Amino acid sequence: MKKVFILFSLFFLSTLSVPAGNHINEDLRDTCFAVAREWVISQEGEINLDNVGHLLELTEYLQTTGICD
Amino acid sequence: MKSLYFKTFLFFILLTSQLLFSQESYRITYKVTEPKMRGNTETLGDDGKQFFKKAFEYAKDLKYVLTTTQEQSFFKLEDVLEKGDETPLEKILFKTAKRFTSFKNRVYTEINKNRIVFEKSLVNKDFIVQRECYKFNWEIKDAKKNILGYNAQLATGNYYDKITNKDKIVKAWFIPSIPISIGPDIFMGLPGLIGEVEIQGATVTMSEIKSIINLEVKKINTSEALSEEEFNDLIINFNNKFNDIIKN
Repeated sequence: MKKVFILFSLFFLSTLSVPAGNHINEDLRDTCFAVAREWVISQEGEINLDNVGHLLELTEYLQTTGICD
Repeated sequence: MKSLYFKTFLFFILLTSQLLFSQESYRITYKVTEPKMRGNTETLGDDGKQFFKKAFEYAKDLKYVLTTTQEQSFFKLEDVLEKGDETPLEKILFKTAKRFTSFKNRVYTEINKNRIVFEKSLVNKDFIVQRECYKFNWEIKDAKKNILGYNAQLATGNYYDKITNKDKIVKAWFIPSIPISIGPDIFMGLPGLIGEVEIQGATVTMSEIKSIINLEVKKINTSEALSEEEFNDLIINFNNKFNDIIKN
């Protein structure tokens, strides 16, 4: 069961197609993921394993607001 | 007359035994007194600035509760904000507010046995972990200040955070007159209760303390707990995948 979850989680992580470096990809600047990523980096300084779950939740929320694509 | 002596004697016996066998325990409330942004906020647009202004207000409303005896303690966020009927904005603001401290969901500590059990969310899944207490290499300083009428003394420490793969610095103000070696979240190991802790994302300060006789301390079910090694392996696997994604 544990292994199944790990595989699922790794798949989940692998869906993050944007690198978590310091430079924001210009093509993705207006996507909700890019906005969420910028907000999380503003709050926590970086994207890491501890906040990636929050990044995804914030992306989902922003997609409902119409302030990004 | 003899009966009166006997009754008085009995009263003192009962009073003494109550005092001898009762256990001093505390219920301590902590609040986020200073949430901190750790990155560049100048690039945030108006929406972002408004969002974090509200998140700051939510963070300052968070209350964490520590119940502790000399032997064991339990720490978690008070459930006041989670009513189940919040709007999506309120829910995400609450989650964002919690990120300032990034505390574990729940922490149970057996103080004298050097054992800690906590629940931590990783990639939106909760894990229960059982391990030795964290070591902070505390250095006690001369600086003192007052917290809720108690004299508190400064200590600085550091610890390795496996999840972020970073050494982290922590400042703590402990209260020597309350000689329980515990504090909020994973922070402990000082010769007195921690009244304030300053971590990267926030300063968290004791806002209320009640001394209660025989307070019940909740525990965390460890039947599905990961060991420290198992949790470390999980983090290594996650981080390897995470780093691969960053490189590609």
